[in-house]
Amino acid sequence: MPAVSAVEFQSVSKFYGASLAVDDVSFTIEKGTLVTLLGPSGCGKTTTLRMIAGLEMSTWGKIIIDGQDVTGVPPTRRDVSMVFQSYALFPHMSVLHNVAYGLRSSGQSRASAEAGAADALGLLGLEHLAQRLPSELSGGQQQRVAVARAIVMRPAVLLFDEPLSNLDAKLRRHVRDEIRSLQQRLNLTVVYVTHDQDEAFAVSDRIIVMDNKRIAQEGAPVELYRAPANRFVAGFLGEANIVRARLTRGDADLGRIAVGGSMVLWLPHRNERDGEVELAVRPEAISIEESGTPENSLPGRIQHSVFLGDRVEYAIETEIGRLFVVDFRTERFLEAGAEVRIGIRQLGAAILPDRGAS
Amino acid sequence: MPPTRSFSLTLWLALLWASLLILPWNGSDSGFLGLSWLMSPGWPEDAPAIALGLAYGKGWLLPLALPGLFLIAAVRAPVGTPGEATRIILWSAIGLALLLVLAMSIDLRGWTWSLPAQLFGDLPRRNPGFGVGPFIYGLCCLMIMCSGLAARGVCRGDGFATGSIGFVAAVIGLFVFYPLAKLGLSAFQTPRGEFAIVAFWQRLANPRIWTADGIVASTFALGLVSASSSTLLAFCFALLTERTGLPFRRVLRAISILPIITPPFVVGLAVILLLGRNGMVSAALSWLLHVEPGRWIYGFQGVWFAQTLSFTPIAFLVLVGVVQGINPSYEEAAQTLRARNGRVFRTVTLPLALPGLANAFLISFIESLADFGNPLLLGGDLQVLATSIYFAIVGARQDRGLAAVLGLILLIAMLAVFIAQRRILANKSFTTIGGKGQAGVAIPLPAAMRWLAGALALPWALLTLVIYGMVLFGGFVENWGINSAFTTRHFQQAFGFAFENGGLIFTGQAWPSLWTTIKLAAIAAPLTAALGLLIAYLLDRQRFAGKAAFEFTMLIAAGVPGTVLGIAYILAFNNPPVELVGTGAIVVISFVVRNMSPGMRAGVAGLSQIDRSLEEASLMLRTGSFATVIRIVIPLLKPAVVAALVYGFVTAMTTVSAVIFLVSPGVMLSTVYIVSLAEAGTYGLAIAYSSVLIILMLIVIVGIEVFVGQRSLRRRATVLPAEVL
Ligand SMILES: Nc1ncnc2c1ncn2[C@@H]1O[C@H](COP(=O)(O)OP(=O)(O)OP(=O)(O)O)[C@@H](O)[C@H]1O
Ligand SMILES: [Mg+2]
Repeated sequence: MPAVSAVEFQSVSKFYGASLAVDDVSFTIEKGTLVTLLGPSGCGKTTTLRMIAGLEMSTWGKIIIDGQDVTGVPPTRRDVSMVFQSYALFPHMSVLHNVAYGLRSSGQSRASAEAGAADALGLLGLEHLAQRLPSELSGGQQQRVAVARAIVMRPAVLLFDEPLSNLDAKLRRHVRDEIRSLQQRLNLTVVYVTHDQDEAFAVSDRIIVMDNKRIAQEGAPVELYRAPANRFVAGFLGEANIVRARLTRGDADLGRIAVGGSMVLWLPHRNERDGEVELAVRPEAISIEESGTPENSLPGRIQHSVFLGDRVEYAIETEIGRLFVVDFRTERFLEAGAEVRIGIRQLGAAILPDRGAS
Repeated sequence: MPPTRSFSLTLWLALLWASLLILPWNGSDSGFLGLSWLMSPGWPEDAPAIALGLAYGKGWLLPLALPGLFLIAAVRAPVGTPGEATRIILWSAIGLALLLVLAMSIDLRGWTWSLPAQLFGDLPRRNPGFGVGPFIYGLCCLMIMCSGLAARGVCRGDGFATGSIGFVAAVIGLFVFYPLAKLGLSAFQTPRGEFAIVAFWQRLANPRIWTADGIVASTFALGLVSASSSTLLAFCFALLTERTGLPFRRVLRAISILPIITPPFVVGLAVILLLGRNGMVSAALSWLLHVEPGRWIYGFQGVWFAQTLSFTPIAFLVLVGVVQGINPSYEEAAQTLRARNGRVFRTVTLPLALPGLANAFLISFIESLADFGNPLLLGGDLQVLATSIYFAIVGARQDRGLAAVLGLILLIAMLAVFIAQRRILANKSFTTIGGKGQAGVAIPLPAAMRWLAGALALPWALLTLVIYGMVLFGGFVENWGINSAFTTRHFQQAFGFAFENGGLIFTGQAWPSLWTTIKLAAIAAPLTAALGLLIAYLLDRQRFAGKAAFEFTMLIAAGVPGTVLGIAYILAFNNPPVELVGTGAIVVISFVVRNMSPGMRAGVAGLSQIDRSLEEASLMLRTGSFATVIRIVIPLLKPAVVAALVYGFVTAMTTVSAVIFLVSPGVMLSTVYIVSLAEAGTYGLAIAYSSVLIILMLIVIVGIEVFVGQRSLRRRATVLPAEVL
């Protein structure tokens, strides 16, 4: 028997009244992994997460958790916990009672619930705060209490909805590393919602990128960055120049790609047919030469340049359009009007196979 | 986790069987909720349905057991059996339907249709109404049906939510819309009970209703002038408190509780003492001008005067919010565009306040339509809808049909105004909610406006002061207008007590009605609060099909004029199947239905302060909706709960319009008693009793505020954890 996955969505759609919030979404999440739902505001991430939780019921489709069909099952009978964006700590209960709450509701005795809660607090280094009220904690502490309250239930799936959005920038990095290490230490299955690509890259085993109520692409962080499926993913995960080029298939994997008049790249053809294709080119993958005419390069003229300390950003007009370029060689700074030649590093360019999408 | 059968379903089923096997099926004379059947059960009067069916020849009750049997079978089947939820829904619905058919088949005189008469033989001439049994039976069927619906995924599978919706719908249906339907039907019934459109047309064509000085015209004319004058005065006062340096703000709080603690007829009573034939001012005038003091205050002008005094505080409360909510930056913008103060006021302030003014006008208009006490005391020959209904029922020419037609007219007028008000509020609110915290300085009132407002509002404030002074101290005057000596005679007569044989004896004649009122209001308060808060919870926190209609229905139900509800209750609950008139229960029910809206408002306001994710977090921690409400929502909603309780109590103590129809010699209420004293001309006693009532209410409100005020404030600071960051 194949191992059951932790969460499975089969063609799930969700309507709020007449308006569609999630459109025909399917995915599987393996046990012990941390999967991020990433996408711009309003794309349906929270709705998807809440359907896993059972706080929203899907309009169509099937939801399976830990091998059981839970499509119509209310949240109280799903083996799922959630850390809320606002933490949702009960303000009238001490930290200990907050964390023991779920165990009490599941029928444990007061003593064993509080013992379990104390363990969970210990796991997050919060023992000394057990008797405080939530209003007497800092934001970061509240957040950890919320995590403790969720993991104490030993859920099959742990859900996070933008857990860092209420923390300041410094704390964010720290807490996200903590969540990641806790997940790996306890081998938890986590679904994590964010709209911040750095955060997604930092914590995820896999990322499900959502756009406009649908899944735009799914994969490991490196895959998504190196080989985005469409303009949206290319632009949402980092920056990308979209460039027209001509493909001629070479061997089984690679294709010969003519960019402009005098540049040729060899890239995976991703099953595109010969002819016009779109390339996504990362700004840091474009190199700039001030002099000479190196092989495989195109002429260009600097239109605009901005010095940003650790890097310089350029807008360069070329025969394939205006390119946005990031240059980390900050010892030189080219003024507007300078004539240059540009090259493209293979690792930072990819054909976009999915041209229909936005 | 193995799915478990919900415990509550089993409980409801057990209760259903108890309603058939133990609880008395028929109502007894000791009142609907009387417990005499527990102490000394006397069969067949207190027998349960099954016993009646088996041993006393009432075989038509036996089919009620059938749904019970099938439900046992359905509940015993393993969870998840296909069609199990459907069967539960089906059989509980059949149980409800059987109960309804039964209710409609038997009235006071016997079978209402021929088939059962042929099957079971004729019934005696006098049949009892439903007792506790049928109500519990119906409730259980309803709750079981709701839990079946939840199992089918209604309300996201939340049994508590579906059950609550079903319960609220049943309560409002039975105690608001069923009586209103009866009212509608009665308008078409001849005195002998037959239906005839003609009867309706004849009543409607009654010349007393439609002539130029008839009932409808006077009602509307009164409404228009009272609402206009109250709105105008209130606006002046709101401008003075908000836009001038006058030290009025402290008065503001005091004024805001006046309408709540003052029984609606008290102002009318004070006006009589001031301007009536023996009134203070009348006496002074007649002495000055050498004219005979007359009855000139009785009639349209007197009611107008009293209503203006009564409703101005209500309109003021609305308009203070409106004036506060006008963002000063608009006025500042106008000023930077070279507009002078007067022009800013005319072109910016006033237009912005217009929707609020319209709202205050309509609220006062509704109050005037529904006002019963002032026209009763001061009306003289003036006939308005509210009092005409009353006199059609209690007068010498008892005419229920006419009362029903008048009730319908009042109800429809009310609905029309109500809908107009909702329209205005929905489309045209330029002012911001919350009101405070806006940057900028409001323009001072233009000089002319300041003088005008002051000239109108200040004498009014003085008059209000005098009126309340009269109410509070009038009870100490020997005999109004005739003998102004100080006396405590009225208080002794009303609230005297003595020690006899070592025990305290309440000898005053007001005690019985006061105790009854306090007792019934104390019973009603928690029920009122619970219903209001439950509705608020459903409206604010649950999503379900038909929610907009549900909300509108609740608002209408809460807005039915007391007089209309009173007459509807008399028409609906005087005969089997539901026989409640003359009991304390119906008074309590009318309190609950009439006064649920403050609880609703407090609940919605309180819930909007509580982050919804707290409840979701509780659900995610395996805690069902009901337990979540008990352990999370109610503790956090404590201020709203207290407010709802207090208002439920106070409004029950001070209401008169509905209960004046429902009291009986055994169940006499303070307000009704005071009105009857005043009608009999016993003003000293009436005013003494009123002042005690007002002081009592004041103590309750201020006491509670002092007692829980600080705690509720502290609680609010910790409600939103996200904000503490
Ligand atoms: N309770 C609701 N009723 C109606 N529409 C809703 C409701 N909740 C969400 N929506 C709509 O569904 C869509 C998806 O919302 P969702 O909250 O899932 O977005 P999101 O991806 O989490 O966005 P964000 O990053 O801003 O949190 C949005 O268009 C939103 O307006
Ligand atoms: Mg979201």
